[in-house]
Amino acid sequence: MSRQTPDLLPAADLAGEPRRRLSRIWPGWGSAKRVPLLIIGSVLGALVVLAGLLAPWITPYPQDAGAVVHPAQTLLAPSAAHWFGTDMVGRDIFTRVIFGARVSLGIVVLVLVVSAVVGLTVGLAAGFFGGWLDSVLMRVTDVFLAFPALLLSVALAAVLSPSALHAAMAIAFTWWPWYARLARGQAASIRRQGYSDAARVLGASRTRQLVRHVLPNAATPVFVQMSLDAAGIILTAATLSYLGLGAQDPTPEWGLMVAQGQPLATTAWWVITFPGFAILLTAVAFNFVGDGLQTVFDPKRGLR
Amino acid sequence: MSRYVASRVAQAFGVVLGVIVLTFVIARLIPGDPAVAYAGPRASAEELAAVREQFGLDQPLWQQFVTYITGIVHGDLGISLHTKQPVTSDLIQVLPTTLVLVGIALVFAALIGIPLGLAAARSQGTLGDLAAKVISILMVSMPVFWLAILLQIVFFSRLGWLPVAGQYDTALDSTSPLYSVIGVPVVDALLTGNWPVFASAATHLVLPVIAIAAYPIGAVAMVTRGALLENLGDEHIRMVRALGFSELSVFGRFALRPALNPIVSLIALVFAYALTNSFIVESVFNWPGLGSYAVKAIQTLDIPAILGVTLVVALLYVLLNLIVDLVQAIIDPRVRA
Repeated sequence: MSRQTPDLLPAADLAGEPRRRLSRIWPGWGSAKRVPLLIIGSVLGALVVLAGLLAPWITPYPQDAGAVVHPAQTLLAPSAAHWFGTDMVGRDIFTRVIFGARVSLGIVVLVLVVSAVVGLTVGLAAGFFGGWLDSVLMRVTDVFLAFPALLLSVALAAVLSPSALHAAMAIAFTWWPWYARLARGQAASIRRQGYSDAARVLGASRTRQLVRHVLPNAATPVFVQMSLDAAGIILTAATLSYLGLGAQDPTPEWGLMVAQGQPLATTAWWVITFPGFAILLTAVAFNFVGDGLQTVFDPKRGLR
Repeated sequence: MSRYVASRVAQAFGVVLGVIVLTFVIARLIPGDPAVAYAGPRASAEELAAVREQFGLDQPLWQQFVTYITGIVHGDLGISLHTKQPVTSDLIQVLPTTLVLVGIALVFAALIGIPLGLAAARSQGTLGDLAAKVISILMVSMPVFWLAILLQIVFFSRLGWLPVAGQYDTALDSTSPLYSVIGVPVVDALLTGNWPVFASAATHLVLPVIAIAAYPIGAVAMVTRGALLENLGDEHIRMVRALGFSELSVFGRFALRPALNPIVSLIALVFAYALTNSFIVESVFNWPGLGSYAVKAIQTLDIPAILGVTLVVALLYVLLNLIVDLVQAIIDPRVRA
C-alpha cells in the first residue's frame, strides 16, 4: 500500500487556488480527485439523470414515448431526422431511449429506498437488541439470500401481473436482506464502541441510542452499498422487462425495447443496439461511482 | 472441525426448510384463484371444483403445505402446465445441459479472471491497472441478453464465423451418429470419441460461453485484485520481499495463497450469476436446458414449473455454499473458530 497516502491533510492546498476552494466546499475532494472513475461515473450518471428529467424538452418527438403509431415510417435506419432510427411501429428510438431513463431510474430509486428502509430496520433491530430477535431475523435473512437474486425476482414477478411497479417490488423483495446483514454487522460493532457505552451510562434511552448514535454511523456503508447496487438493479430490472415480466408496451423501457427488437435484430440492428447501450452506459456510470466511493470511504478495501 | 461441519450442515437444513416455505408462499400469492388460472376463465363450477380437488386446493392451508412438502420429499414437484409432464422428470432432462454450459463458462472465468486480477494488482496504480479495472466493470455492467444478441448479429449474421443456435450440426447425424451418454452432445461426443460431432459442438459452445462468462470474468478479476492488494500490504509479504524472493514467488506463492479464500467464496456467488445468465443465453441461442425451460414456463405462466426451477436452483445454491464454507474451513483454520 506504499503508493497510497491517506488524505488526512489538505494536500490540495499545494496545488493552487481552484482546488483549494473545491476542497473547502467538499472535504472529500482531495481523495476524490485521485479516483478518476468516480468523476467520470458522476458525470455520466448526472447526464443520465438530466436526460430523464428533461426528456419532454430535449427529445424531438415526445409523443413517441407513448402509444403512437406512424405506419409510414417504420424501421427507418438512423438519420438526421431520427438519430437512432425508428422502431417497428415508426416511433423515434432516440426519444424512447431518453424517456427510458425515467423508467429505469424510477425503478432504481424505488428499489433502493424500499430495500434500504426495510433492511436497515431489520438489521439495526437485530444488531442492537441481539438475543433471540437477532437469531430469528438473521435466519429469515439467510433464507432470502439462499436464492440467486434474479431468480427469486423472476419467480415473484411471474406470479404477479407484469408491470414496472411489480417488477420493482419483486426486486426489492430480494434486495433488502443484503442491507439487513450489512446494518446488523454495523449495529453490533457500534454497540461495543466507547461512545455507545458513554451514551448508555449517561442514561440515553434505547430509542435515543439507536437513532442518534447507531443509525448515523451505520449509514455510510449503507450509502456506499446503495451506489454499488444501483447498477445491479438497473440490470435486473432490464432483464425482467426483457423476459416480459416488467413494464409493458407503450412504456419506453430499455429491456423491453431490446426484447421487441430481437426478432428483427439481423435486419434492423438499431432497434436493439441503442436501448441496450443505454443500459450498459447507466450501469457503468453507477459502477464507477460505487467503486470510487468505496475507494474514498474505505481505502483499504477499495482499489487504488 | 467436526463440530463446525455439523453446525454448518444443520444450518443448511434450516435454510432449505425456509426456502421450501418461501416458494410455497410465493405460489399462494398468485392474484385470483389458482384453480381458475389452471382451468381457464370459461371453466364451469363443476370443473373448478374438480381442479380444486385434484390439486388439494379445497383443503386448509396447513394441509396444503404438508402435501407440498411431502411431495418434495418424494421428488414430486407437480405437473408442468406447458409440457404436461412431471416437473421433476423435465428438470432431470434439462439440468445436465445447463450444468455443462455453466461449468465451462466458470472454468473460463477462472482462467481469464484470476490472471487479469493478478496482472492488475501487480501493476497497481498504473494505466494498465486502470484499464483492467475498466474492462472488469464493463463486463459486470453488460446486460447479458443484449450481449448474446449482439454476438449473434456480429459473429453469425455479419461475419458468418460461428453457428448461431443449437448444440451441434444435426446434419452430422447421418455420417457420425451420436450415442447419448448423459444427454449433452459435447460430453457425449467426447466420451464416445465422436470427433466430428465434438468439433461441431465445441464451435456451437463459443458464443453462449462468452455471453455467460462475461460477468464472472469481471467479478473474479476485481475480487482477485482486491484480495491480493489487501495481502500485499501485510507483514509477511514485506518479510518475504526482504528475504529476497523473486517477485514471481512473492505473488504466486505468498500473496495468492491467503487471497484464495475470498476467491473461493466468490465461486458460489458467480455460480448463481452464471446460472441465471444461462437462463437468458440458452433461450437466445436455443439451447434445450434449464434456462429455456424456465423462460418457456415464464411465458406460459406455468407456475409449478417456475417454482420447481426456483426450488431446485435454490437447493443447488445452498449445497454449493455449504461446500464452499467447508472448503474454506479446510484452507483457512480461522474460519472454523
